[in-house]
Amino acid sequence: MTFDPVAYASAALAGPLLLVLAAFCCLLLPLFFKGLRGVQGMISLGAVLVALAFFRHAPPAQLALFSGALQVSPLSAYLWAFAMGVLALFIALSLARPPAPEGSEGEYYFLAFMAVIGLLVMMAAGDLFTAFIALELLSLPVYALAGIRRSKPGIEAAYKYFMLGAFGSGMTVMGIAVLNALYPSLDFVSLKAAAPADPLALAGFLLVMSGFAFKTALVPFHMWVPDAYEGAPTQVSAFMGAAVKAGGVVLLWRVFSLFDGGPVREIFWWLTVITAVFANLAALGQSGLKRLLAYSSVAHAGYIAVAFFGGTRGWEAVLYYLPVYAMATIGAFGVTLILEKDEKGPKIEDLAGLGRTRPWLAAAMAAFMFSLAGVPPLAGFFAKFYAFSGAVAGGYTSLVVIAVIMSAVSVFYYLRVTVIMYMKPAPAEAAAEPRPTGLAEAVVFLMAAGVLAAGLLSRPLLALAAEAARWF
Amino acid sequence: MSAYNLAALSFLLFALAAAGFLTCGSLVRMLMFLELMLNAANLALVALNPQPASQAYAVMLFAIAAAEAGVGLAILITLAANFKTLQAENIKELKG
Repeated sequence: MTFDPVAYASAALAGPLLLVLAAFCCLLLPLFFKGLRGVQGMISLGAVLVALAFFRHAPPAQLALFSGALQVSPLSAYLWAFAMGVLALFIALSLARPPAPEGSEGEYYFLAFMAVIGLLVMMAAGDLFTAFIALELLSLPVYALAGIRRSKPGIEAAYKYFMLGAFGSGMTVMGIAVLNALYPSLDFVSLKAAAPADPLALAGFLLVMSGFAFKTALVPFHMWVPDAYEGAPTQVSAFMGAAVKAGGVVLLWRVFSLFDGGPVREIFWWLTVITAVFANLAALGQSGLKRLLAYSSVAHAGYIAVAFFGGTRGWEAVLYYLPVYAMATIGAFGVTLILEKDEKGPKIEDLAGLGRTRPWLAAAMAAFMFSLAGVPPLAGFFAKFYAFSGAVAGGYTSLVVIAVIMSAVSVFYYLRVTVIMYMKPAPAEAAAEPRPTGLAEAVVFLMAAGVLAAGLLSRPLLALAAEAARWF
Repeated sequence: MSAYNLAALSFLLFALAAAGFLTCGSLVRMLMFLELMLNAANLALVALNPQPASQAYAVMLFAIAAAEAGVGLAILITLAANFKTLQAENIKELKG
């Protein structure tokens, strides 16, 4: 079969372009056709599912589009399918319990689509400036999504996320300006070829990386995470954990992989250690479920960062880790969504007796917690195992030892959730009548099945990840 | 002014803006410092590299700065309507 670049490019871009179209349909059509008001969610979900159906097994070739700004390859196909899957789940959760005020559903889904389009561009970006523009296209809508309810907790989350996120972007763009002065071109290939030596270039790279670390939520760039996750609508928190973090991870990896050694790797080593230690210790003291999941997301950013030290094997591990973490985290936030009675979400104590009142939901939640903790045979165990084994093979044993110890600490707080669900009796007063959340439950059970399947049968996903990793 | 002086100016501007952002308590001022950070970066983009691509980056950055200011102001207005204040220390509905 001959390779046809035009057919390849149009097949690759059909999905993203469909999302752009759907975004504007959601925003504009209801203005003209009153009958479409309130059904934007269904339109969005349909569009994403069709876009996902466009994905075929990508031909093994890399294609530079838009003079190299986008690099389309099996790697981008893998990441794009992941991002669109997260979007579909996010829309399903939003349909189950709409977070947007009456009348602003159109804006809500438009912002979600724009964020994901930013994420798609970011994952396939061929140069640093494209990556930055995409980062902004991802971030700005998510700031607005966090505050979409215009209520006290929501808007406080939005402002904290905005201020620190924008500060991170400022650092990134200053770093880009410095690198732009020193290098003839900002695309990743020529940045890699021109080995950075002088301190100014180092400062530029560190500024860029700290901006990306804000998005990935590595300590000490994580200050916004607990508040933003707690105050934002739960669906948006799930999106932040699964999608925004994935984008940050891809960009961090791109910059990190420019270096074979030297101070950047050393600084990143320390960032990883601080993240793994601090996030897990801070999570021990949390009483709110959303805050617990927020600190857990910071901790997992640390584990993913450990995988960075494993070279190509590490990249495979990261590509396996992202969907596994996303499934567990979306599932856990889905359970939170089903149980929440106010915007800040349930306390961990509120889960008491769930094992008796809603056994299936409790079982699913337990599966997510065990997967996040890394208990075999769930997918989280294999994700951590691959992430850490790559770093061991790379000679970073001490880093892995610290990460494993902190991962053992994390078992305590994940297990506490499970113990409270099964061991503590339900409070005496009658549990609030469960609101109709069929779609949210469907998402939760789908994710539980996914966490189980990706663990018991980890080969297919791992093979896909390994194939995608070769195109880095 | 030589490129060297302009670089020094933009670094100084960036450092001042970052320091101001981290130390001041008023959210409106923080937003202004954010814009100043972006402008410092813009100055460095324009001054330190004469290539057309670099100048084009600066124009795109204008658009990004404007979008960021737009989202930021919208958030601050909603915040002021909810909390009746724009001092960071008075806004603590959430823990931490």
